[in-house]
Amino acid sequence: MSGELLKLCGVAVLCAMVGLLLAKWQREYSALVRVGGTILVGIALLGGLREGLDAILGLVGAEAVEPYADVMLRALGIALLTRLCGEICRECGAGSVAVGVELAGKISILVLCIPLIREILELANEILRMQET
Amino acid sequence: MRLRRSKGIYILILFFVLMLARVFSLSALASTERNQEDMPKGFSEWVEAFPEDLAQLLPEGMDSQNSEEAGEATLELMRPETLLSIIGELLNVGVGDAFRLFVKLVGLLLIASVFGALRASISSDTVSGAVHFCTTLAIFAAIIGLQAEHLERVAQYLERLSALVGAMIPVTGAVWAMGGNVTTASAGTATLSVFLTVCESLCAKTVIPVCGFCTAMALCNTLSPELGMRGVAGAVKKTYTFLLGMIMTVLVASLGSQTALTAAADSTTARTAKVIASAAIPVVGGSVGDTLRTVASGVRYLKTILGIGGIGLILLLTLPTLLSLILTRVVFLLCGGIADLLGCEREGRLLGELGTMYGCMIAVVSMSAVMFILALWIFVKSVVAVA
Repeated sequence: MSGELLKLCGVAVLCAMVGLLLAKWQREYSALVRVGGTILVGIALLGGLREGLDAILGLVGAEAVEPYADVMLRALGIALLTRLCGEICRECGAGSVAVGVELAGKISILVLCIPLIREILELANEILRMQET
Repeated sequence: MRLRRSKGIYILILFFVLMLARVFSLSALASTERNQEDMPKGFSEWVEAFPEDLAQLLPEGMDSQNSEEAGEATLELMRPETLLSIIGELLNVGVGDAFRLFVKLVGLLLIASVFGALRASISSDTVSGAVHFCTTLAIFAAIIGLQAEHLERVAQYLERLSALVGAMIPVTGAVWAMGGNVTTASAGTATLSVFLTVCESLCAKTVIPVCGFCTAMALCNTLSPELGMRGVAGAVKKTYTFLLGMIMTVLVASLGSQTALTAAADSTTARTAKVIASAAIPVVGGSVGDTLRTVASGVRYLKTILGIGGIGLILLLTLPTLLSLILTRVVFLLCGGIADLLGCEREGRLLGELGTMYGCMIAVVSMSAVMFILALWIFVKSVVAVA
């Protein structure tokens, strides 16, 4: 992981430097290079996150927590992706698009919670049925 | 001639009196033998009311109609070694389940903690808030299944306890009546029926709504602490356990005082009858008292077997549910502390509140058991009127 982190940092710094250089001559290419660098870093980040989570699940017993950990990981993934996209849009000067992306991210996370809310309501119904019997 | 006739009559009377004495002593012996051999009617139904899955914990001879066998089995059950080995067996199973729950909760808290650290890098408050909502909901969904399971277990326990005590009431009434405590039998069985109604109606029907309400409040308080629902849930829990405790104290005090008064009245009636019998019946009037003392010792023995046996059965019925609730509560409180250490304050608050809700369930289970145990103890200690 530390080797990969060095590579990641190297790529990120390289993209930033190239973007800075290109900003003087080719502004549009500069933005593309910065966006490309952000995407590469984001993909590497999500991969590392999955690896770390698998290690934790292996320690505590995956069967019991996997469905819930899966939901939590997706929610975090959506949030990080939203953040990255939002920042890219702001860098490109599209602040309103960034706001739209963040809103979409928030709605996606809430939609992700619907199965959990359904499960909780079903258990609440079961408890109420217990009371009636 | 007249003298010979009167001599004959005296011999006849003497013969008749001797036969009468023999009959009395034979009946006393028979009643002693009967007391050694026969448990009262309804005893087998009482033991059959004990759940089958827990019946394997009972020593052999517990359901015997022979009072000596039943007495030995009761003695065996109430030995400290037997009780401790049963608790050990239950703890073996319970600790395993509690450990699995602990590992599951700690796993979820570790994940929540890692995500919390990553969430800090999300600048947008709304998205960060949505992620936090999702992680809290995921932890709650993981726990609520267990809550439902435990609530079902408590409801099942109260149902079984009611069935067991319902089978006990006629037997205790019969034994009281056997000892001449007729008034005590009617008053005592009526009060025990009230106990049963309280257990069935009050405890069984209110524990689920109260615990459900407190769980919902715990979730609201975790997701929206600014609503300030913590105080409401705490007040409801405290009021509920206080009311239950008060009702049960009043009922036990009522049974104790009623039994003492009626037993004294029955004793007075029995003594008066003995004195009249001793005075009215010539020659053998004194043996009426001896016969009644023999009967009284037999009844005392039966009362002890039934009372202590009943206490043992209630303990065996209560221990599995109680230990499971206590271990789960300990796990929740521990995990609440661990959550605070990991920086998951909201999750820690949720676990802490759910842990205190288990305290409510423990209170209901233990109060129900203690109420009936005290009632049986009063039954054992009540004076036999004919003694």
